[in-house]
Order: sequence, then C-alpha cells, then structure tokens
Amino acid sequence: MFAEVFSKVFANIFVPGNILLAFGGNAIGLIFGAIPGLSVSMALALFLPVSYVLPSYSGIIFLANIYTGAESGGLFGSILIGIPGTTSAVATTYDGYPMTQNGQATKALGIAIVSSFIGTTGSVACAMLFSPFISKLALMMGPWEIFSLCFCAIVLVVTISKGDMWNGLIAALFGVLFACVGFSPIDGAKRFSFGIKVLLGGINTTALILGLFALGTVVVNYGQHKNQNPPSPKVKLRGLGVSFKELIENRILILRSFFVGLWIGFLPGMGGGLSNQVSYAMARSASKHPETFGHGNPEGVYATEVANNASIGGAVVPMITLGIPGDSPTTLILSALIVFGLEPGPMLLQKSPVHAYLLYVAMFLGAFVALCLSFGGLRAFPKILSVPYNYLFSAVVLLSFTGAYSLSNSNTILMVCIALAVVNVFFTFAGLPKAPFLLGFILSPMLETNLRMGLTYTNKGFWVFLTRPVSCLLLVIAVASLFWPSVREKLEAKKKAAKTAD
Amino acid sequence: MNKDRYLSLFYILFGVVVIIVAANIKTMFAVASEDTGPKFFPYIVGVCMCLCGIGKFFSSKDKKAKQFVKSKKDWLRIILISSILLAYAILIKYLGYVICSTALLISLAILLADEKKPKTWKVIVFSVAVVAVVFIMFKYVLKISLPEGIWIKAIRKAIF
Repeated sequence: MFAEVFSKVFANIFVPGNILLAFGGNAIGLIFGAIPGLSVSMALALFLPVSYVLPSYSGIIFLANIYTGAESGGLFGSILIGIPGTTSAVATTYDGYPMTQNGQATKALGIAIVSSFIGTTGSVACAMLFSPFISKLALMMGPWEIFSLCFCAIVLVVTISKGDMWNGLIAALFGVLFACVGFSPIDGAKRFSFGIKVLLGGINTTALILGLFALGTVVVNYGQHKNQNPPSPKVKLRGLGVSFKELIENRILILRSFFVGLWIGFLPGMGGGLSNQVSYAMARSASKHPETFGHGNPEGVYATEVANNASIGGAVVPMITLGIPGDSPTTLILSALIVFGLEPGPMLLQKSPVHAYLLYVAMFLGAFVALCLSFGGLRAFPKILSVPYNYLFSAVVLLSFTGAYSLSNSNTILMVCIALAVVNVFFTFAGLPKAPFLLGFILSPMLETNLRMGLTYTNKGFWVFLTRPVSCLLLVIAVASLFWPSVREKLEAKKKAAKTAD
Repeated sequence: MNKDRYLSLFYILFGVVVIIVAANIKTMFAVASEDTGPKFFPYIVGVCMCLCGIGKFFSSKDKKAKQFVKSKKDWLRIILISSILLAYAILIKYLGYVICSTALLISLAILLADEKKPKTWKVIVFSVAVVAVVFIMFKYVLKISLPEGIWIKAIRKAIF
C-alpha cells in the first residue's frame, strides 16, 4: 500500500508546475521569515486564498513550502541585523549577531542554513514514521480524552506565556469566546453574531490572523513609533561558511537540539518559539566554554536553528493525526486542508493517505528548496532586509485586505479585520499575551464539541472526564501546572525563611 | 488605583455582559438531557472571566505599569491610522478596488515614513505598481473577483 501511495505522491510532486510552486512558495516564505515584523502565520494567511484556487495537491505543496521556507528564513534577520525574523529565531540572535559583528557573518549564516535543513528534514522524516502509530492510538481516544488534551494544551500555554498567569488565562478566555461567535456546534444556535451576516459562520481564522497580526502590528507599531527602518546590514558574504567536518564535530549538539525541538514541537501550543530558547540554554549548560556563549559561539547557532526547525515536524504530527493544531501556522494549514475537502484527524491517514503523505514529502522537498534558495540567494538577503518600512508594510496592509476580501467577497470582513486590529491594540495596552488567545480560539470548537459529546455519550455527568484514566491524567497535569508556579514560590520563600532563621 | 485594577474591573464587567448575552441565546431545538446546550460554554467563559478579573484585582501590586505609548498624543496616531483603514473598508464598496487601494498605499507610504518624507513620485510609482501587480494577480491569474465599486459602475454605465 505504501509503495502505491508514495508513487502517487511523487508523481504529483515532480511536475514542473508544482516544482515551480514549491520554489515560489519557499521564496515567499523565506522573505516573510527573514524580515522582522512579518511572520510565518502572516505569510500563510496572506497566501491561503491563493492556494484555494489551485488543485488540492498543488495547494498543499505551495503551503508546505511557504511554511518550511518561513520557518527557515527567520535566521537571516537574527544573524544579519540582530533582530529575529520570527519568534522561533530569537535565540539565534544571541550568538548569530555577535558572529556577524566579529566578521563571521558568512559562517553564522552557513551554520544556520545547514542546521535548519537538518532540523526540518530529520523532523519531517520522524513525523512520517510516527504518524501511523499515533493515528492508531488516536483512534482509541474518545471525546473525553480529546477534551482533556485540548484543555491541557491551553493551560500549558498559559503557564509558559510571559507575564502574570491571570493575563494568560484572560487572554485564553477571550480566544475561547471569540470562537463561540457564529453557529454553535451540534445544534447550530446563533451566538454573539448580533445580526451581522459575516459573523454567522464564525470569525474566519485567516481573517483573525490578518487582522490581529498584520493590521494590528502596523497600527500598534505606528502608535509606538516603531515604524522605523531596521538597521541595514553591512556585511560581505563569501563562500558557504560551513564544512562537513564541523558538522561531524558538533554531532552530539545537533542530535540533542534535534530531539529537544522535535519533542517541544509535538507538544501543542509550544513549537519553535520555545524550543530554540530551551535548546540554547541546554547547549550553554552542556558546553565546555559556556562563558563564550553570547559572544559569537557557533554552538549557540547550531543549537537554536536545529531545534526550531525540528519543531516543524513535531508540530505537524498532532495536526495530521489528531486534527489538533498546536500553533497558528498549523491551524492555517489545517483550515486549508478542510477547504481542500479533507478531514484532518485520526482517519486522514486512512481515508486520504496521498494528501497526508504529500504534505510530508512537500515539506521534505521544502527543506531542500530552502537550502538551495538560501545559499543561492545569500547575497540578496541583506538587500531584502533593507526594504524601507513604509513601503513594505503598506504593501502588507494591501495584501491583507485583498486576501481577506477574497475570503467572503464582502467588505464586512474587512471591518472584522480592522476590529481585530483594535483588539490587538487592546491586548498590547493591557499586556495580554497573544499565544494563549490564539490557542484558545483554535481549540475552542474542539473543546466544546468534545465536552458536549462526552457528556451525552454517558449519563455520568462531568465525572466521566475524571473516571477515564488518560483524560484524568491530562486534567491533573493541567491543574497542577496552573498551581505549580505559586506553590513553588511559597516553597522557595519558606526555604529562604528557614535559611535566614538558621 | 492603578491601571491593572481598572483593567480587572473591566474584565469582571465584561464577564457579566457575556453571561447576560449568553442567557439570551435561543436554542434551536431541544437538546439531549445530558447535553449542556449552546449556552453552557459562553456561561463558563463569562464566569471564568469574572473570576480571573477578581483574581487579578487582588494579586495586582501597586507598581507602575509599563507605558503603552510614550505620550497621550500617540493615541491620535493610532486613531488616525485606524481611520484610514476603516475608510478603505467602507469606500471600497463605492469606489472600487483600484482607486481605493492606490489611495490607501499612497497615504500609508507617506504616513508610515514619518519625518523622512519620501519623494512623491516614488510613492506614486510604488503604489500604482503594487496595485497593478496585486490586481492582475488576483483578478486574472487567480480569478478572484474584486469590487468594481457601485459609483464607478454607475459612471461606466452612464458613459458607455
């Protein structure tokens, strides 16, 4: 069966048109990833409407390449100007930018590009191997387990988000509430649509991301005087910067960072944004020369770039096998899969194996294309990073509006986008983190549907969620992680008090 | 009272509003006796929002909150740029995609540059070129319909 599936997958990928789409998507992704302020989600949201008019196979190849390209592109901003292009390349600035300042820009870029490639290909290969097993396990899960898993994911994101826990919880609640707009699941009651036609179908995820991130960022940046041009990189780039020998020397570092990235990517709601930081911290503590970290140690670049790209494969697994996306890029890909007529979830690998494996293979191909484009266009990136802010972001606003308009062919959706930009102003004003909001919004329909299904399947009421072992364990983890920070604070205070008393 | 406390009160009030609105949700048909119905989830959100507001109110320390904008004048900047976006969203229905988009790009390219005023011809060339590329891409390559504008359509019909 696999041979048949893969022969179909390859027959669909290696068509001139689709290869062209792969290169085009990857180039778009790399540019969006490289420029600070533009993100992976923005690239996907802006080009989703484009993918909808393509045949499903081509659409998947296009989106998978935007995704892998954008996840790899973040390194350019981090290394060349010291401003991370994406949140998953934040830790790359710690050592990547000092390397540039020390005159080792080419080496830093070479290491980062090759590390990204290793991270993506390895993690996508692992994802392809593990998906059938996880999807079999997922088939054994009932609505109780899925509800608890979604709940646990939201709570975990709340606990790792910066700032105080209340803000994280409030942000998540806003997300859940926003997802309640429109017809309710199961019985289709109208909720919070206030007679506005475009809201009946709920707030469109693409419109939400365009409004909140693209328009919202432009509005907030303008208010905060952050509409300045980034420093233009002044570097001379020569050669490839990295040798095979160096890779072999750093094999243990690469392997460790890889598994950290893969695992964190697999956990819902976390992904590259967290894994690059964790992997960096681990590399520093394991290094023989921790004092050189932050001053241009190549190990820091290896650690972050392998880990953040390894998270890609990890993040795709729950999206494909459980139908639960862990972050905004996978949510957007998931929504595209639904438009293509697929049903993401445990049955996807059985019902439409060609589409599912095509996504994996397209991502694998994406890693190769990103490698070629990154090395081939190495000298173009300093120029891309010097595009003036006013031109770049006004074009982004226009693309956002055009993309949003094409979703529903009405200007009401543009107003929804602007309303969401205002929501972004409020969130920044109130200091509410956006990650829990987004995950709350994404997982809310699954949370509600599975809660209600779980309750109707048995007559035990809410107890049923605690009597099923896996569901109970997930809920315990969620509650414990919510209270752990305050418990730990008290324990530490007690310890300190005991020490001072001694 | 500091900013955090005011915000906490807002969250509590917001939670109450959510509960009231949720109470008025009309159920389409009788749900199974064990099912919670469509009101339950919004109720929970409303109640949790109130609880979080209360929790935040009592946990907030009287420290000086981080400033969102440097001065009160900066709020005007936010209102100005938001109104430009809103004007686009409203006018696109009447004036159509091409005119509105060109105007949007010209105004944003000048506005976002602040003091470093860009050359007028550069802004115009940029705006016309970007609108042309996006318009042709969406309308003819992707075959997605973009608004022609009610007024523009009327003028076109009157002339031809």
